[in-house]
Amino acid sequence: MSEDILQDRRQRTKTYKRAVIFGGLLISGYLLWSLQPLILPVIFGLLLAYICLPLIERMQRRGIPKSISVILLLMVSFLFLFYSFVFIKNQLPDTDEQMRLRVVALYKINDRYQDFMGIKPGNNEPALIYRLIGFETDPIMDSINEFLILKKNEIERFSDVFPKPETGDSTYAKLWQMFDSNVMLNLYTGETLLVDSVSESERSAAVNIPGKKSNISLIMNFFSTWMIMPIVFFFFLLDDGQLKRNILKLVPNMYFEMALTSIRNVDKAIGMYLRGTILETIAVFVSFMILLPLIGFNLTAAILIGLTAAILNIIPIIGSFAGIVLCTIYPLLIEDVNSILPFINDRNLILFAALTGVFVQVLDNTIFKPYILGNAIDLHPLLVVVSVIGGAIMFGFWGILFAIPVIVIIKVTVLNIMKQLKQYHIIES
Amino acid sequence: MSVFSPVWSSINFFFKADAERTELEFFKKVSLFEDLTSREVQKVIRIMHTRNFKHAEYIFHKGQPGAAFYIIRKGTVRVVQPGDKPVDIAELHEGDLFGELSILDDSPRSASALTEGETELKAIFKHDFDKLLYHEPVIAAKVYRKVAIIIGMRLKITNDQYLNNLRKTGETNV
Repeated sequence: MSEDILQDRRQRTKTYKRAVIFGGLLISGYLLWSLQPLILPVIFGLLLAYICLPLIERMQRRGIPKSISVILLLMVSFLFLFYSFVFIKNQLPDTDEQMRLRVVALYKINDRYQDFMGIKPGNNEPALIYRLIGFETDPIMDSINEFLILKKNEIERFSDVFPKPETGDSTYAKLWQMFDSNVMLNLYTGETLLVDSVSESERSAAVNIPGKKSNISLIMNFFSTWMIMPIVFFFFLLDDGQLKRNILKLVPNMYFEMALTSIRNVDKAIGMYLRGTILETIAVFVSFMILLPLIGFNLTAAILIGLTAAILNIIPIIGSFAGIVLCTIYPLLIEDVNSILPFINDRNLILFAALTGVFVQVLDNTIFKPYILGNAIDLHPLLVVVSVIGGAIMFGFWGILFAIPVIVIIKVTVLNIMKQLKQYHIIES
Repeated sequence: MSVFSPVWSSINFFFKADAERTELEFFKKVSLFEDLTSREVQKVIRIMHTRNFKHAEYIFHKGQPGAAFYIIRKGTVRVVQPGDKPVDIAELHEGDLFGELSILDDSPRSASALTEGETELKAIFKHDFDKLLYHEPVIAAKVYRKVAIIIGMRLKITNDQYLNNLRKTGETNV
């Protein structure tokens, strides 16, 4: 065969390969864009499978076949998620309870704000701090108050659910005392009554009490696109290395060994990070579970707040701050404190709640993180903030939660590939 | 062709495809896996990667980390010491394995390997193999015994070559 024919063939092959790559990229991009709602469930399924891999290996070592182990794990995970969902849903306040909590919170927040700033009715002179920053904090307080105050149509329902006490009846006396005080609240930035400033149309959605749905229907609504998650989880765990072998088929011979080592190192690092994160989350949750009831939180509230704060803790910096804020909300909603520590009362509980949040963060940063995660999550604070905001814009709450794990995975992957490229003398070290 | 052959091939498919059986027979003859049963060899086959090389393509270079070892399925491989004038150390053929020292340690490759003509190799990643041996101690015992025998044999050959060289230079008459 002449050299020209060979040259032509090589050129055609090159053009064909380029066209296939370009077409492949175009189709992949289009699919990725169109199937955006599926990305998160797929990522979630993969992450969960990664976390469970050692468990499957352990079960296999005990003689349980892989397929049985995966099915068992899937069933246990599903049952666990179902009961956790039901438990959390049952603990969350219903619409009536939310109204009661809003009345209490509105009263307590304003009582403490006025007390701290020295602007309680009857005070002649406001505190120095109010004169310095009052013009900044007043509009914020008005916004919070507008959010919390019961609207006119809500008030009717409130009166039905919590009847105004007759003389001598003390069932809802304290609650109505707070309610009356809230109704008399003025805007901090004007002379209008707070209750009048809020239009009736606002927050009307909050008043509509939806018909009760079964737990299963609620879960099914949530999982409509998330049904892909257990499928990904199942098949990823069931895979016997075929997935990896297929990916490696695309790798040129020159990079084969390097790719093998990189995949293994990245796999190990990601697995360790994810399992470490879960362990750290459990450690933070247990710390909250022990400390919050100690300062006077009721156990259910401690579980819910501890769980939420521990999950938020996955997000560095922002999550830590959110955890502390979350702890301070509860003292604003309760009326009586029953702490086993005699010096804690309803006036200083908020301070101790914040201190508990800070203490758990110190514990996490000095003990849990260094021992469990090492320096895997050594990210620049600016990168953390940008990724979390980016995640929020793209995928909402789940984007916030998964932004950092995804960034850590990308970081680990890139660093590992770079290291291998240097070790195999493919790039200069 | 018998009228039953399509039926037979369908039945055969359920038991064992011809290609699969040929693979199995082939790998049972590879020195490292000689002592393994068919079931055990199949477990090893499951972790293999197939790689196709063109003529004179390098499989690995001296000094690179050893991440895998190879079995020649088709073709020929030359093991060379690189340099201005590369020195051929060995020529390996179908059924031979090379790079097996990577099973034992993390030291870099002691020589380079390149293909002679179009070659098909089966690669086994060190960590996949370690994992298999960890889960299957019986396979591990048989494989490590074989590795010891192979290395012992190579040591004997090296000793003989060394003695021959000494005899040639007159440094010994043993």
